[in-house]
Amino acid sequence: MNRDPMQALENYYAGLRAPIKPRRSYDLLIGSSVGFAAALFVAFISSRGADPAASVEQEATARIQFQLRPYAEVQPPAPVHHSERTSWRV
Amino acid sequence: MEKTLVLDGLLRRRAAGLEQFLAKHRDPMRRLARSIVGNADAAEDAAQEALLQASRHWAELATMDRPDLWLRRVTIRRAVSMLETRHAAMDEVADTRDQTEALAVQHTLAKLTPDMQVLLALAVGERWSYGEIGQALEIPLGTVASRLNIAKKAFRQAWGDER
Repeated sequence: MNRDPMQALENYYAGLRAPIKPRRSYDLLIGSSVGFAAALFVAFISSRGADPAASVEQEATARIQFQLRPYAEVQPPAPVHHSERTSWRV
Repeated sequence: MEKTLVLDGLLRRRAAGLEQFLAKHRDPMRRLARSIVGNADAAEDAAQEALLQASRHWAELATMDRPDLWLRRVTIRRAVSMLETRHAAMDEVADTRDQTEALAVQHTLAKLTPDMQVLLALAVGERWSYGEIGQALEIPLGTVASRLNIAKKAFRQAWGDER
């Protein structure tokens, strides 16, 4: 650490003179990334079919189905007949 | 019809002038506020408020010879009010090689009055001439010199106490 207070003060202000990053740089970065991804998605969908709106709808339906599939695969428990129950009360 | 066109042209020119003014002074005002408050977020707030005020008063500012001097004064005032209310906690360690030293400087500066901090920020931090400081703070040159000496002496004293 510097023993000369004025030199320390100079060093401190020199540090503050470093370029300031814009506060919302992360927001901008995220915003532009999302925008870029959305643009890519639309371009991809557009390139697949003649009707982009219909393709988007299909894509959305496929996504929903994909999300639902794991639940659909789980079979409901088979109904248990009263007579099959093992009960201590006979 | 002609009057409307003329007015439209004037408004467009005025808006373009304001846009240019804001773009030119945004970074310098942020740097100035940062030297005073020692914190990038608080500095951004002070500079934004000053620029906002400039845009509100642009009709009058556009007729001034040096609207930048007005903006400097407003930015300094905003930054000082942040120092006074301690909104600008000096939580940002300056980007120096010696972080301990930077923290010690921050603590020492916090012991001084806001007026002293501003003078040191303008003279040592921004390297403004006595003339520029006098213009911005609206005080005579002699007063700038004497107050700056007092501020430096107070800083040395507080630095010694800190050790």
